[in-house]
Amino acid sequence: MPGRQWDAASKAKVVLEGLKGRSESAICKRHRIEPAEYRRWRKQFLANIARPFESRRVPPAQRSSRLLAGMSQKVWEESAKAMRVAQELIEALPIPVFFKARDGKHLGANRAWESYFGVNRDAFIGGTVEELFAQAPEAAARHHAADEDLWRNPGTCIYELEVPVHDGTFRHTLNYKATFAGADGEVAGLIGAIIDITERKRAEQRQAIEHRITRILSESETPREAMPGVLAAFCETLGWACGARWSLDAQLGGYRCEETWSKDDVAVADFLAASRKSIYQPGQAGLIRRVLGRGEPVWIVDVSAEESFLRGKQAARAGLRSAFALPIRLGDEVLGALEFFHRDTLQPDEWLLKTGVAIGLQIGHFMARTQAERELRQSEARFRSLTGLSSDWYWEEDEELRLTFMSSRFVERTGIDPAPFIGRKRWEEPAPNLTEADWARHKAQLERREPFFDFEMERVSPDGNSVWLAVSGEPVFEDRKFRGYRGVGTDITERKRAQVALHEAYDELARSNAELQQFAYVASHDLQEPLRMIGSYTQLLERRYGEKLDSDAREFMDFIVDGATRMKQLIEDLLAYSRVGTRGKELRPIQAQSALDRALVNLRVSIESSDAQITHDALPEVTVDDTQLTQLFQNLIGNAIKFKKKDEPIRIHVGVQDGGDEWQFSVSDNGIGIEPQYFERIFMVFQRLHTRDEYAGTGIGLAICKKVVERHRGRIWVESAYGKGSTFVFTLPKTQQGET
Amino acid sequence: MSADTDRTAPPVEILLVEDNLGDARLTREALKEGKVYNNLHWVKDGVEALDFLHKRGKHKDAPKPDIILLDLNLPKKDGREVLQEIKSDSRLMRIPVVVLTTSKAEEDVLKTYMLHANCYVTKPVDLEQFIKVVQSIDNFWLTVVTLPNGK
Repeated sequence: MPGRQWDAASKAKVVLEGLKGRSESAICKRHRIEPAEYRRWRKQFLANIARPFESRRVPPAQRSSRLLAGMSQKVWEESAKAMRVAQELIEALPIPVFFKARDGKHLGANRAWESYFGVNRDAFIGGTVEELFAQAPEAAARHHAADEDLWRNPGTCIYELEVPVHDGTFRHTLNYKATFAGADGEVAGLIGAIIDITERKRAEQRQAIEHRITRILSESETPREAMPGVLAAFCETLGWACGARWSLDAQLGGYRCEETWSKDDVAVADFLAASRKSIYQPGQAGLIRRVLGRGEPVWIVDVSAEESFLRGKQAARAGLRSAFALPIRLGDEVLGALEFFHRDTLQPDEWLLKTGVAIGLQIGHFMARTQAERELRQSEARFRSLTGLSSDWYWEEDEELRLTFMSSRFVERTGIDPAPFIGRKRWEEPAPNLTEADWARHKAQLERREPFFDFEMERVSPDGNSVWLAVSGEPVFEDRKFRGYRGVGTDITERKRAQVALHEAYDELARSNAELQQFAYVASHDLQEPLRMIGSYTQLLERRYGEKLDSDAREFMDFIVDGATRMKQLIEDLLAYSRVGTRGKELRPIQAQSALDRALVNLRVSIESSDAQITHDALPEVTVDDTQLTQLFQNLIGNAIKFKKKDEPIRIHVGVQDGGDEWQFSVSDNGIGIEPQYFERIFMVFQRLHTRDEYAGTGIGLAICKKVVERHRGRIWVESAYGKGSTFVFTLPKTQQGET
Repeated sequence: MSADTDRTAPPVEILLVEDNLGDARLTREALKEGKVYNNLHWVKDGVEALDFLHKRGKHKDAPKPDIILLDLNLPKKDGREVLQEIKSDSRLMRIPVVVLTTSKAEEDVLKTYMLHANCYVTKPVDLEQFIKVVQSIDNFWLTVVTLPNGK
C-alpha cells in the first residue's frame, strides 16, 4: 500500500462504504487497495463491532479470559479503540444498521434503524425478522431466505425488498448483509445495512410510466386511440386493477366515460361497462365530479365506505377498494379525468398524486395538440376540397409581389410551365387582353393590400394558343406585417370561348333581326308601288272607258281594285307590326288615363255609330311608350266594339287591379266571346276566326297588342266564354328598367 | 276639268320630283281634272330636282317653282336629302313642299329626321282618293298660297 498509512478509523470508514452499498471493486479501485486487503479489513471491522454483541451471549466467566487470552496489553488497547470507533460510527450512520446472531435473533441496531421501523431497539433485542414484519409475511420470508443463504455461504449479499416501515407504508429497500466471525473463527452472525431507495425507485417508476405514456401518445392520433394504452401503462406499472377516462360532453351537458382498461376480470369488466353507460351532471359529489369540478386529484381510500361515490358499491362488488382520480388539464382548463381502482385499501400516496398531476398535464397537452391537429386537418381538407372544386391551382407571392409558389395543377390545366413565372411579377409576363391602364388599376389594388377576385388574364401557351386565367388572391399578414399574397386560379379558356361564341351568336342574331326588320320594311314599302299602279290605273280605266265596258268587265275591275286595297292594308298592318319593336319610343311615366282618352278619341266615330257604353276604373300612372299604350287600348276596345252581339247594346269596361309589382289591366265586353281553343291563336299574326264578310280586318290587331305588351315585359291573355263576352287582360310592370 | 281652269292668271309652276312613270302620269292626269292652271315640270331624280331648283345645266332657264311635289324614294339622291337642301337654302326654303309618301311609316321616318315638309300625302291605291289629294293641293294653292300675292 504505497504511500499510505492506514489507521483503524480509516480502515473502518472504507469498510462502511461497503456497508452503504458500494461494490468491493469500486472501493478497491478508489482507495488503491487489494481486494484481499479489503476483505481482511472488513472481517476485522465486523469482528470488532460484533464482539460486544457476541460477548453478551458468552458467559461472563469466560469473557475476560477470552478477551485476554493470547492478547498483549497493546493489542488489547488497540483493539478496544478500533471497536469504539466502529461502534460510534455505526451509531452515527444515517442509514439503519442492525446485527443478528446465527439463530436469526436481533443483537442490536443503531438509532437510524430504530426510527426507520419505529421499533424500540433495546426492547427488540432477541426479536426475529418474522416479528418485525408481522404484517408483511412475504417480506419477512424473503429476509429469512437471504439469511439462510448467508449462513450456508458466508460473505456478503445485496437484495432489494419492499417492506413496511414505521408509518405502515411500504418502502423500497436495498439490503446489504455481511457475516462476521466469532473469536473462534466460525460465522457468528451478520451485520445488515438498509438503504432506502424508495425515492429512486419511484423516480424510475414515474420515468418509466411517463416514457411509456409519451411513446403511446406520440404514436396515437386521437385520445380514443391513445387512452387504453395510457391506462394500461399506469395500472400495469403501479399495480392498479383498472382505469377509465372521463370527458365533459358539451352536447349532453354531462360527464361521460370514454375509454376503459382492465386486466381480464369479468367483475371489473362489468363495473367498467356500467361506468361507460353512466352520464353525470356537473356537481361536487362523487369521484369524477369532484375531480372535474375542482381540477385536483382525489383519493378514496375505500370506495365501499364513501357515501358520495355513486359507483362505490358496484366497485366494491367488483373487488375494488381504493380509487384515485386525476384531472386532465391544459393550463387552468380541465379537459377530462382519469380514474384508477386498486384491489387493496391504500392510504393517499403523495407521490402518486404528484405523478398523476404530471400525467394529467401530459395528456392534456396531447389532447390540445390532437385537437389542434384535427382542426388543422379539417381546415386543410376544407381548403383542399374548396380549391379542388372551385379552382384549379394555388399560388403564393412574396411581399414584393413576386410569385413564389404555383401548385402543380397549373401546368396540368394550362400546359404552361410555371417555372419561368417564379420570382417574377404578374405584369412582367405578356397578357394580350390587358392594357397598361388595366395593369395600373390592378397594381393600385395590390398596393392597397386589397383582395381581388377573378382577375382575368390571357396567356399564351407553348403551342401558341390563348389560355385564359381567372386569378383571385388575398393579402397575407403576419404580426400585422404584409407578407405577400396568396390565392387560387382557374382556367377559364372554355368559358371565354363560350362567351365569345355567345357574343358572336348574339351579334349575328341582332344583325339578322335588323336585316329582317329592314327587309320587311323595304319589301312592304316596295310592294305598295305596283299595287298602286294596279289599283289606280284600273280605276282610271273604269273612269275613262267605263261606259264602253260591259257589267262583267266592271265587276272584274272592282275585284282588282278591292284586292289591291286589301293587300295595301295587309302591308300597312305588317309594317305596323314590325315597327312595334324597332320604332318604339322610350318608356316614360304617364297617366294611363291619357292613353285611354286618346284611344277613345281615335275610336270616336265607331263608338258613336255603335252607341257603345264605355266605363273605366281610375287608372294609375304607368311607365310605357304612350303611343303604344294608346294603340293597345285602341285595338282592344276597337275589337270589343267590332265583335258585338247583334241584338245587345255594347258595354265595355276598362279595369285595373294592383298585382303587387305589376298593374293588371282588363278590357271586358259583352260581345260574342271566344271559344277556349282559340285563346292562343288569336294573338298570332293574320290569324282570324271570322270571314271578312262577317267582320272586317286583317287579323293583326291582337298580334300587335301582344308585341306591345311583351315589349313592356308584360303578359296578355284572354278570359272568355263563347257567347258571354270576353275579357282581355294585360299586365304592365310597375318599374321598367333598361328597355328603351 | 280643264274647262274650269282659270287661264287669266299666270300658270302655277309645279315641280314634280318622281321617278315612277305611272305615278307621274297619274299626277298629271289628276291635275288635268283640277282647277288650277299649271305648268307641270317633271324631274326623275333628286339630283335633277336640285339642278332645276338651282337653274343648272339643261334647267338653266327653269322657273322658280311655286310648289314642289316630292317623292321620297328617288334614284341618285333621295327625297330626304332633297328636302334637307331645300329647307337649308334661304332662297328655296319658302317654297311649299308636299311630300308624297308610299306609306304612313315613311312619314314617321321623315319626322324622326326632323325634316318638316309643309304637307305629307300618302299615295293612295284608290284613284278617286288620289284625285282628291291633288285637288286639295289645288285648293291649298288657291286659298292659302295665293293670298300673300294679293290675289
